[in-house]
Amino acid sequence: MSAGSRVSPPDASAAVASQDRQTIERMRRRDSAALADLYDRYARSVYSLACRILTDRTEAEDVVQEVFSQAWRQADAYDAKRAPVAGWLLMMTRTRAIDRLRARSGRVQMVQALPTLPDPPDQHEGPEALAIGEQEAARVRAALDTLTESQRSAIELAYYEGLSQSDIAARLREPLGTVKTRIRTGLLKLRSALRDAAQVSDQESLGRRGLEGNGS
Amino acid sequence: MAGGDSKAMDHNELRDLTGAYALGILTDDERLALESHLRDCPSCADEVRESIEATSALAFGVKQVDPPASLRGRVLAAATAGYEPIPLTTKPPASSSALPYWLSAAAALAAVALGLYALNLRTKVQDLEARLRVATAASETMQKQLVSLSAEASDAQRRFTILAARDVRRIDLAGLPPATSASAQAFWSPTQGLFFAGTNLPALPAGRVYQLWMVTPEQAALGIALLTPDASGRVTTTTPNPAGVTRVAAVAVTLEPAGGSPSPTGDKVLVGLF
Repeated sequence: MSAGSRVSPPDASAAVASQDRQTIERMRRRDSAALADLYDRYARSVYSLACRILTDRTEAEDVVQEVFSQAWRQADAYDAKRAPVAGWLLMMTRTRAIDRLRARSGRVQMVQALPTLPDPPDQHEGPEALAIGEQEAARVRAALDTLTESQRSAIELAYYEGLSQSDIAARLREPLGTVKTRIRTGLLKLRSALRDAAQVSDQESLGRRGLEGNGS
Repeated sequence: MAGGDSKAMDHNELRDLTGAYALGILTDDERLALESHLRDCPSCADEVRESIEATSALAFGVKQVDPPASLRGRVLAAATAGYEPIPLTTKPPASSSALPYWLSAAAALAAVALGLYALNLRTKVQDLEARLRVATAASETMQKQLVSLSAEASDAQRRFTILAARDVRRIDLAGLPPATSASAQAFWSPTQGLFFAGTNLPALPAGRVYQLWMVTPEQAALGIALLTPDASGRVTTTTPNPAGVTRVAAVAVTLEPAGGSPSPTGDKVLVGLF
């Protein structure tokens, strides 16, 4: 394995997933150095998402603290079959950030609880390809570009502002049914664009490995 | 689902919700209907899974900003200080062996319905924020009801006292089949009393009433209140703490004959665990 502590090489995603699971295992044994490793890998992504949602750095810092505290306390609850560690942390981040956003504007409805992933199929693949790094961020943005403008607006309002579907419909001045369809088809399109991008990068990395003669 | 629910959605309507579910923006009714549907529909479950993966990607697509260097030390110190890990299993915590036999199976079901992330793992900050939200919502409701009888005013005041109490704890209750859309929250302060708010309770059959119970770790089930939901399935109640009760293992709602029962005999409708 050639990568150092950075995770940008595309073929490092399986290694990242495996290291992350080990980190969570160590956290379960109350190894606080493991939490430091988790922080060093993911604090930037957590902070960046919180900043994007809250546009307030102080609040974003609070969210980072809450997320890593929650991860430390809930390490036992983490289930690798349901989400990769990055996804787990970022779900927490978004929930807490949207919570604060709603409290700020005086809207007091409870945030929907984290969506519960249904049981995974026997061969669960895909999330491991969603590693972090500037390359991946660029791929995500490219995948988002495959959506229509209206699909993208609806999804971004839902994701970054936590608006309900009726609020999105009001904001975009569109019928509720239209918004629902846009969100659904937009997300499915995003997923397949990401999957296509991941396949391309897998092929590239397989090619590279072939050239270097690395075993896995 | 309770018979005669005219708002039941068909498969297409439910499938339309998969993306919004992954984004966490459904209403409670929609979420519960979809979650119940997902258990039986693999294709919708696949859509949900794919949508959740896609939303994870949205998190990665934001502009990356470095947190300040000073944050690291603060976060690591705060996270590891003082919190004892609460081991999570898929069953209710060890105290379930202390639950009376009539409640333990229902409690396991409720634990699954509420999801592992929701059980007993809230920081003080989350608790405070949750209480503030409920108190604020109660305050808004109160402002709309300025013409209030003094009984209503003192009821709201008791509710506030409970929500704002230093020793208040929150329990989420999940609806059990066939009332899987029902849900409730209870706020319990050993010093100030209990405030209970339920939604989506099925309409009462003739001659029956819902009864709210507090279950102690010694397995005693104390009847707390009788509940009659309004036309939309909502009900709230505010009661003082029963004398001598300092610990509670669970809160439950059962369906009893009109006038209530001295002990729980009827179907369990809602269960929540401490």
